[in-house]
Amino acid sequence: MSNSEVNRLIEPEVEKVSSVSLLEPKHFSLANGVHVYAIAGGRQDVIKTEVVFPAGSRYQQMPLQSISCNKLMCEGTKKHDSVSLAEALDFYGAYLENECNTDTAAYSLYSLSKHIEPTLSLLSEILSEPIFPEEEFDIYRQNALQSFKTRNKKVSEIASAEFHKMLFGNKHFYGYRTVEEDYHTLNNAAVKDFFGSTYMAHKPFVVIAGKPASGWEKTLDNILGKLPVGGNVTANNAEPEATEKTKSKIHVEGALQCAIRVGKRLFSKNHPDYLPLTIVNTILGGYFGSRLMKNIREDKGYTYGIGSGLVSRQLGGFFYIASEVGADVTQNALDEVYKELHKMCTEPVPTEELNLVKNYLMGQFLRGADGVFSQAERFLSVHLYGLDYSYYRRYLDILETIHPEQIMQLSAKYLSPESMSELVVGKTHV
Amino acid sequence: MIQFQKFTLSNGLTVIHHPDDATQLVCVNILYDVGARDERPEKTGFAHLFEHLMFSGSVNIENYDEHLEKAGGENNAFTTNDITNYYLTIPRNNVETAFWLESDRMLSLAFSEKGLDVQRNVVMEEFKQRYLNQPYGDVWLLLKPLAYKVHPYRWNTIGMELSHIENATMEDVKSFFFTHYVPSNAILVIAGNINLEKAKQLSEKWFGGIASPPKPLRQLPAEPSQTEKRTLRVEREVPQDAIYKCYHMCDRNHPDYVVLDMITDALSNGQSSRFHEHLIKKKQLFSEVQAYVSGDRDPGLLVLSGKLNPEVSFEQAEAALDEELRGIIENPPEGRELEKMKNKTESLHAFTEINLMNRALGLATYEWLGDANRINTEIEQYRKVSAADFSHCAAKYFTENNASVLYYAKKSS
Repeated sequence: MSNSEVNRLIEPEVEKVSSVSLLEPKHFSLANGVHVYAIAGGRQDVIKTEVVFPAGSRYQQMPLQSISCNKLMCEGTKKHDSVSLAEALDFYGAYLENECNTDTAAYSLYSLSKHIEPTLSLLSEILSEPIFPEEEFDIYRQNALQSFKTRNKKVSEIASAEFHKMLFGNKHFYGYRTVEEDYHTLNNAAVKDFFGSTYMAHKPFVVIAGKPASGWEKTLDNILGKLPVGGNVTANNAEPEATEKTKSKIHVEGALQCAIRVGKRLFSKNHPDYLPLTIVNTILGGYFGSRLMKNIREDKGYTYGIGSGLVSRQLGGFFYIASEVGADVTQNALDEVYKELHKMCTEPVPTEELNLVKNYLMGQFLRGADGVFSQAERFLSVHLYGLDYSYYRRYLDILETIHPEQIMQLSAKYLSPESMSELVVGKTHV
Repeated sequence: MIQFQKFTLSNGLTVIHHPDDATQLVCVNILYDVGARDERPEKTGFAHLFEHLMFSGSVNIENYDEHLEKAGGENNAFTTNDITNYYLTIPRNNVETAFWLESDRMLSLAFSEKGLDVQRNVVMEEFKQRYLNQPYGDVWLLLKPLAYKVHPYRWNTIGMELSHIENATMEDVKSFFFTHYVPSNAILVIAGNINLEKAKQLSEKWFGGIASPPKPLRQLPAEPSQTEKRTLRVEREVPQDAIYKCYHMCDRNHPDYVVLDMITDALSNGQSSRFHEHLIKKKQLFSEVQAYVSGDRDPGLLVLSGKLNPEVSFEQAEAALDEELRGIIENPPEGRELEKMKNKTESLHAFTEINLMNRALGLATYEWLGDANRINTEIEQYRKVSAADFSHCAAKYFTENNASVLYYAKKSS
């Protein structure tokens, strides 16, 4: 069978990626008023249960309080010490994931469907009766400090922390840069206090996804429906103060590369321009074939990778361009970054490029809906902002209709090179 | 249970089809049986540099990424000691674009000088970013040549030194391509929302006509048995002392492999593992400590690594690690501990298989190891492991003569 007739010069016909059905979760409430959002599906007999608390760093009184509380809750409860708790979860083949950011803190349980009851009971213990043993605190503090010191040797880590500080100011919880001293000030009493004033005082919500063994409503009600919950949310809603556009350099002796950050404060997902701006961002630096990658990696070879992004928090957001580049080509790379920004603001994007990006983003949208766990994430990423699935319907709509003129206008309005702050961390004395 | 069908094209290309109609995507995974172990000692880092060049244009298609992105697809690739693997996902109605792109770069490349120039630079920046400009980044650059003296595993996939990448020529690129990137040396997995008939038809249409020289022969020098303990001490600008102790182990297809893999699970998988309970919580010698197997095709390494708490000496740290290994011999996991580990293995298996790309990569990897169906059956080997197997294997491999230790010290200021 010879295939010499295959004409490789003709690209197979590409269909426009069609829109996807959005599977919205089923909503119900537990006896204690906790809201549950459930997505049933998948082939494997597994379940992910995520319990989300308004307990991020935005709620803390001193640095590291929220993250430490989040990490230490699973280090001992009234019924189990830390090792027996871990052993019990491990025995059922379950995994716990705890995370904490500026706005929220969460515990996720990954379990086999057949073991959902005993493992969920253990999670419920962690969420309602942690005891915060002094010795566990000491071990945690020592290890967290060591890991901080290691991170603080990386130009990219220094750049990220410092860049947040430049954009939001050191006084605001979105901008505060942790220092070594904070680990010494931190104490177990403050961690316990934080648990009482946030986890116990607020009402979490639950996102559950996977293949239920039997009806999971009853299981959830029997276990998480008994969590003690409060109702008074005392969030710190202070908007960050305005910061000036700045340029800054941090010298790191012996660094072979410089980490660069260029960007500015913008807004959260709730702003009407956020969605169209995500498309602008994709063109500039949001995918492998982006302009920044094409120019600075694929044409000049200055870096292993460069990208840009829009970050949304509940009370604001920012735009950034980030890369690590050879120390000797740092200025050249920055010049190219500004050139690309300028081009976005002054020249309409060619239709072919825009169509490519639209189709790529539709593919991304499909990938983001692949599997129940991804669908759960999709729900969370709007729910945390008080938004619903009309956000995604609007996105698909914008993706369909946005045109080059609009892209240029949005760029000029939000991404002008003159408006950007700039940070270089690395070998800055040449 | 992962369903699949296997067929072979007349040019020797192995194709595996795995259907899944719950997704709107198709995943195409191509594994080439070539890795850093196939490089010559004076031209290391080449398999990985080559992986980059696979994106710099093929014989009929100038820009791989652009066409894939236009069809809504996304891709990536990685290189190990043993293999180079390319994978993509694409909306199912555009799947033919994936066949067109992947077959063209198996047929031949554009071999552009500019592409080579640029990717040399990109890879050198990657070398700096990942290995030189990171605390502890050069550990493997030090450890591999300590543990291996003869076998090509003595260098890393990124290469022994920057100059090897700097000096790569177009002639090297071409000969590498025409030797290794041939149908008989590849495994193609097509997974997702596509039926067998279509997978067969598209494979035949796009890959069937690519001529294939025979699969290249591999004759690698075996690493001789190590006869005495090796140590290396270095000082670096890092915040903490760190220790890396490794032992030569069996190859990936040897029956001892699953036992050794489970030993590392007993030592460090999860918060109730032995290392975590004894060394982090009770003795508080380490801030982090792990055990793992390299999983290489040829005899690999079992590695213990940890970051030492302040005031802990290397002697104390190493003695504590040794004691844990003796613990496996004298007091192997049994009863509830053993059952726990088997449950964890089983559950990890279930969680890994949720992801379509993981299933595709798993099928490709097991086929490369000899039999794709091991994706379904290897778990049985784990279920069979007994306490006696642990003791036996631990005693066999954990001897001082078989150990190489790197003492990575914090520079005294």
